[in-house]
Amino acid sequence: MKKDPMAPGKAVSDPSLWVDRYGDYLYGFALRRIPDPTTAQDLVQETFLAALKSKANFKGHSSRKTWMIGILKHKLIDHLRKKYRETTWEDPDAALKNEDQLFDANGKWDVKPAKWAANPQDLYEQKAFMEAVLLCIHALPRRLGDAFTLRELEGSTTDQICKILGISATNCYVMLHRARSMIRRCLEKSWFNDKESS
Amino acid sequence: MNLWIFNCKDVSYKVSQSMDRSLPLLDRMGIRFHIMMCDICARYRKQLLFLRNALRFNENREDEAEPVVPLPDDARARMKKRLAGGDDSSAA
Repeated sequence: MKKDPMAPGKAVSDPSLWVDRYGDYLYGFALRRIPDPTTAQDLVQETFLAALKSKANFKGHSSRKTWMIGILKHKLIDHLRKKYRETTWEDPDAALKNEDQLFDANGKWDVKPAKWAANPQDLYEQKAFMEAVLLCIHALPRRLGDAFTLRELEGSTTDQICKILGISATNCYVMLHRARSMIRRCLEKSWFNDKESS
Repeated sequence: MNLWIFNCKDVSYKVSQSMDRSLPLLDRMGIRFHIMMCDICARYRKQLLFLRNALRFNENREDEAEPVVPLPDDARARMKKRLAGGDDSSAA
């Protein structure tokens, strides 16, 4: 257990206390989006340093935590933008070939989506379920996973995603479609099948 | 492709697209007609929407979320050192 030097909810203006106060929270936020601990730690560190630099800009209109998350989100998007500027384009179809095997020659479901037994509303509340969802997102080919994360966790528009990932609009729609389909199947295997047989 | 001949493969793609942009009326009608007759595609659509809602719901209450993985001690120490070092702009 980490000691909490401050009562929860109390804004901390002294930067020396930020790491203990906000570190776990920011790190968790980053890790849900970037499944690589080293990169996530770098982003958190950059966030703290940027926050220190622009300390005077914090006006207290939002909580300090919200302010720091705002900085982290910028760092995250910068990171992705750089990453995809530097990587060469991989054929999105390469990783996706088995997608077509879900349908027969006439475009009918061959591998039918199964019925999910559990009550959805209850599932929202379950930490274990949400962790299973994140595992499925993190298991995707990276560009697909990043596109999905930007869309569904960050709420980015497809225009923004195209720019960050350096892809066309059509590619973006295709990638999001593949990502959703793969995550759906992954969950069916890892969560729903499991629960039904237990 | 006209709206009477959407197959399941078309519909699965269009359902996903409808979550990212507003589709032309004919596409929306095509999806609706298909889904009225096809339980599997209706289920697929429902599951995708569920996934979206679950993620949004949980991101919105992140404030209360406890850390699943705490920041490791070495990273914690490193960051404290950097922060104490003052206005260092050479962050990698």
